[in-house]
Amino acid sequence: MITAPAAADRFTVFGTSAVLLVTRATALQDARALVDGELGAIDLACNRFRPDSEISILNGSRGAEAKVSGLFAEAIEAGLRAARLTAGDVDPTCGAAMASLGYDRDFSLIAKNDRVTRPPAPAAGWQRIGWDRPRAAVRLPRGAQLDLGATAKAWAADRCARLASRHLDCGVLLSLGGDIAVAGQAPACGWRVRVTDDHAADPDAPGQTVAISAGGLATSSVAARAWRRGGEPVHHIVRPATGRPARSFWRTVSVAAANCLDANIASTAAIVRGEPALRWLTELGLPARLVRHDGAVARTASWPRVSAEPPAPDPP
Amino acid sequence: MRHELGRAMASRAAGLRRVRRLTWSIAGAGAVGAVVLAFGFGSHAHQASPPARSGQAPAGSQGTVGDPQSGTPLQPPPANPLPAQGPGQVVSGGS
Repeated sequence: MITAPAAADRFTVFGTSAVLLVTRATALQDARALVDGELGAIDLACNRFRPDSEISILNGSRGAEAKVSGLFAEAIEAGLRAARLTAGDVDPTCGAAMASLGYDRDFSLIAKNDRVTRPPAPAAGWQRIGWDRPRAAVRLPRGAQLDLGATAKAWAADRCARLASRHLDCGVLLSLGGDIAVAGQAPACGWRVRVTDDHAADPDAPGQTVAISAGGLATSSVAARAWRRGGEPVHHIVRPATGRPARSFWRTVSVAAANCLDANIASTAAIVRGEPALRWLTELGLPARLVRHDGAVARTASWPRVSAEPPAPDPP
Repeated sequence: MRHELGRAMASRAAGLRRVRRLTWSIAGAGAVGAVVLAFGFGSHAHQASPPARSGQAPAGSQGTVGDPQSGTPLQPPPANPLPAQGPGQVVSGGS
């Protein structure tokens, strides 16, 4: 029986921090090599800040059909899955909206209080994407910009964790900016995860520690990846209908699911949906912890309780 | 003369009925054919996969990643999170 994770590696990727844990120390180096290779390929496909990436080429296609790689096809499908299952509350056509907020370059390079030069740009609409799956061909509506930022990290974490676990026959946890995927045999007591507002916080930051053994766990928060624009505070979770940052009832939402992609879809949509998200997550049977702006914590029934948290509203 | 005219009118009406029946039959067959074709193409689109990149493992072998057509709902984890004590080995937060 595995009693504790044997090795950890921390590194930076996609403009955020990553943590790789494995249950067999001798597998760590190979696991990192596998993860690096996969993330490199995903970056070349999905990084909208790289002019040579597939997504940049597609975004410049001006309504023409583009053939895409199998890898990019899967990334697009992950984005479409998010849109379909949230009725468009998580929409991959928010690229222009993000650009209008100044998020058209790596986050570390965003001018932190730039003036507004472009009006808000509502999402073009995921249902207008022409997606020919057998031919791996995609056509964006003219003027639409794809942004897979809402799903790509989680989807990548799932892929990498599965890949490393399968090839190295050990338990693997991969966190990409707090989007966590696990695969293989977990330690006996599970993987200990601290859920809090910011993935870059200390492992004992205000929040809650839970143990997971399978699937994925993701947290979305309006308190992280935020900046100012024209004097107004903005963040990266956009309401597609308006192209503006979501004014959420919740500050931070954490969700566990069968994989990291589903967890991330649910946590992001919960921020956009606001108060009704608690009922939605409950009906889906997803373990979830939702933190209001005043710090009060709500949770669905399958999320573990702790006694030291502020009183929470009951599920509606 | 009037009798012949009546017979001609009746014959014309019968002919028109036959043409109408034939038209509806053709339209019906066309509609059924269109439905069958649409279903066939739809099934094909659902079942087909994008070409896999060489050297890559097939995706979607676990979980439900990558098939927006299926409409598979968001899936709970195989095991719920459990309470744990102390700091995390890893932090999940916004990014």
